[in-house]
Amino acid sequence: MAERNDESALIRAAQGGDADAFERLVRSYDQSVLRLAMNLLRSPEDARDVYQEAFLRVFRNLHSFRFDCSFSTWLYRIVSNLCLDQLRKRKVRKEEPASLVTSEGQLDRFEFVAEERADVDPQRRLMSAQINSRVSEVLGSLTARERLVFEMRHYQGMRLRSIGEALGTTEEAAKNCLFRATQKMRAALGDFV
Amino acid sequence: MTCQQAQESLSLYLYGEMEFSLEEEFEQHTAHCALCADALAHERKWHVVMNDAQAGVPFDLLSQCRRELSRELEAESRSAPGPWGRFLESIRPTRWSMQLASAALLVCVGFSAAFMLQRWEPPSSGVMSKVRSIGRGPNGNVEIAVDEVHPRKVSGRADDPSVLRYLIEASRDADDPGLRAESVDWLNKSTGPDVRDALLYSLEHDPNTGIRSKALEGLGRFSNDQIARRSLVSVLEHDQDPAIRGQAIDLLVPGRNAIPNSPQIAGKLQEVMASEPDGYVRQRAQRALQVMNASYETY
Repeated sequence: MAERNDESALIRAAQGGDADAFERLVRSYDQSVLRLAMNLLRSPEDARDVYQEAFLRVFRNLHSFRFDCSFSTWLYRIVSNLCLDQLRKRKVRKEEPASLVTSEGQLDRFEFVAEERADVDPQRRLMSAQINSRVSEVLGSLTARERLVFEMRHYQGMRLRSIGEALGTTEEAAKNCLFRATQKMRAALGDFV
Repeated sequence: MTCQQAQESLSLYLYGEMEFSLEEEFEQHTAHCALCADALAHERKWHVVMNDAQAGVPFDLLSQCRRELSRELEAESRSAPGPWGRFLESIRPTRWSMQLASAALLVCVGFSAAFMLQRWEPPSSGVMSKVRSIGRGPNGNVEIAVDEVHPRKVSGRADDPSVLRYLIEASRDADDPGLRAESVDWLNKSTGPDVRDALLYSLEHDPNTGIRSKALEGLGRFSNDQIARRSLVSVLEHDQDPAIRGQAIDLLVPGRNAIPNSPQIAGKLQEVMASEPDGYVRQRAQRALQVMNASYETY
């Protein structure tokens, strides 16, 4: 409750033109916004564009924010619309993987993560490359909305009710969307796990 | 609850999105139904696989985004009408009302300015202040405790002690990986024991792989230093990231002409060959042992 009060105070200060308050508001959400955009779009350039546009829209419209929903719902509504636009625009979602430059050249970050966590199970390690490729495939086969709902629930840990609010729909519709997404995931990853 | 209902609710259960009563039924069902219990275990596994496959955010992307946003906001603030401009716009409708309002406004401004100049000293520009407490002072006056931060710019060479102090402080800023990355970049251009210690601190404590990697690059200049080498061995043993462990090996054994005669390092690398789960790191260890003319195994 105290956190919410702090946030309301920050929003009111930012609405009154306090730049420091606006910056603090941005910083309390910007890491998750960037992570969501990066996960969804798999492109640092696109994620950066979404980040910029989202917070600029917040800046331009904060004076009209009337506390009739939570700030995070309002922000994620903006972010999800921007991400959906991007996803619909390009249709093809398979992007270059986030990579790491080492003395050996460019290495796939996904491979590092999978290898690091699979060290106790050699069989799983052998399969990690195939799994990563299958994960990318199945994420690419979801509709933009299914993808967004899945990312928000699975990676951002948002409640279905908040997801529904952010997408301008009902909790039930968000639940159905998640259901379809998880069914596809289960079917695609079934023989790997 | 039927098996079909249970199996349609697997993910919702794992996400904690089931209604309380249904959750109870689900748990009772899976406790007694081996098929659904298996399905739940399977569901849990692919959730874990998805966690592993989460795309990483490149380490400097956040700071880059913040810098760009700050520039954009500055430009927006300059071009957008401020509260004053908005007020003037709002009183524009007719000529006579404009004149009347302006006259009234001038009178108000005159009174207010005279009042303010007597009572209030404006803060110097750029000062950030925050009211800490408000209480009653002597003679019934209000007494306000204000914390003021005066921003200032420090410039100079990166090895200038007055600059270095801030670079080291920034390299440990817990909240801002961008700031830490930039300060480590500058520290990499400097030298001396303070710089070495700061880079070692980043290498051993920074949660961000990219920053640890940058710190390792800077430590190349200290690869013959005993304190740095002890730290590199510790990183080789404990760092979570295989790229960092591989990079640490490259620094410990940089090349044929620069090998300190160290049976301890050879021993460590042989241990790596025996127990390291990552192929890339084993490959770096093998190369290093070749350079050292040491065998790959312990006998």
